Amino acid sequence: MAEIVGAFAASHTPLFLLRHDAPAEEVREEVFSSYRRMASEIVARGAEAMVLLGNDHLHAFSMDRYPALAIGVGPRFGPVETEPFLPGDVYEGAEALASHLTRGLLANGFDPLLCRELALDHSFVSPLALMGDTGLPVVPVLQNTVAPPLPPAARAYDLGVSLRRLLEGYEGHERVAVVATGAPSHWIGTPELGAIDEAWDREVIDMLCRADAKALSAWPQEKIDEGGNGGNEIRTWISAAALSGDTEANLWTYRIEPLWFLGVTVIEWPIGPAL
Amino acid sequence: MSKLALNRLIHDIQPIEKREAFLRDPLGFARGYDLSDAELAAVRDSDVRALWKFGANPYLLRVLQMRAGVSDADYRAALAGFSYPRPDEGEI
Repeated sequence: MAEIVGAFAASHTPLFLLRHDAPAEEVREEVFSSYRRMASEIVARGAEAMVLLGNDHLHAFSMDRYPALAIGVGPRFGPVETEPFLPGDVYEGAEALASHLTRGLLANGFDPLLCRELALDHSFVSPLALMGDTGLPVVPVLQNTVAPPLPPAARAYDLGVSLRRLLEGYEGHERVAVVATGAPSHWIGTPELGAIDEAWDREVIDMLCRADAKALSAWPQEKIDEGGNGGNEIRTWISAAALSGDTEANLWTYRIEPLWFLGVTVIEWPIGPAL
Repeated sequence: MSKLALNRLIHDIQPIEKREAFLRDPLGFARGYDLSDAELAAVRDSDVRALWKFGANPYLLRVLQMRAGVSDADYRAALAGFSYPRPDEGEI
């Protein structure tokens, strides 16, 4: 049975890479050190694999065929070619774990698209690049946050609950870490491009810090839209919270950086009893 | 005229070499996409305002914006008067 040794949420953006050195030094130091610390903690706790909760921004998938939920079940994952600024690192896939999760989710009422081949966009690669090489195999789990109709946020909560049970029922690893990427508020490709809503961000973070992910998952789409189209990525955070037992999250970093279009956030959840 | 066909084209020209091929021969490249002349011209000209009105997905527009070298300020200016979400944002 795998022990979950850490559950985190961390923002992602191509601008971490495209504008890596643009913000002031103290911003870069605060943000980058948080991602490095997350990686260090994951490694120090003896994680043998990482489950990454993210999304695809219409690189790997198109609007012709866009899955509500997808899992990368392959031996390796490279970057999408449509984001040439991404490092060319290839990440080892935790194939057996991914297969286990896929079978389990199917048995639990979910219908994930099983991707034997999958290229990862900045949703995964930008935080992984900041984390540095952990040497850990990964399982990318993708939720639809970009191509309407979107699954209700409550589905993300249920997904987290199921993933927790499935991870704890897996015998192939002793310790696993979970990293949810994306969010909070941001507007990409919309008229509000680059906007940040600190009040919305704080409301989301505060709810997670008082163990209220269940209520967050009940937000209507109209409320989520107030955080921009990028705000839909709170679904991955909700999943991580539910997976952790909806415990009181610890905010490591919230740093507004207009050049990165984000209030960059890193959160950790203590692992409580399974829901 | 089809929002799906429009998004399909914008998606398909995300790779730089595909975008270049499209710009060399827009009509030829877009044959079979079932687009109106106005939609095709909007993609060819990186007319983000028109593309927004036609229902292009914002994430696809972002890549198009970057490929076309449109600054963030110019992008926002081009979409002045509009806001997210569009009335039909959640429609298939």
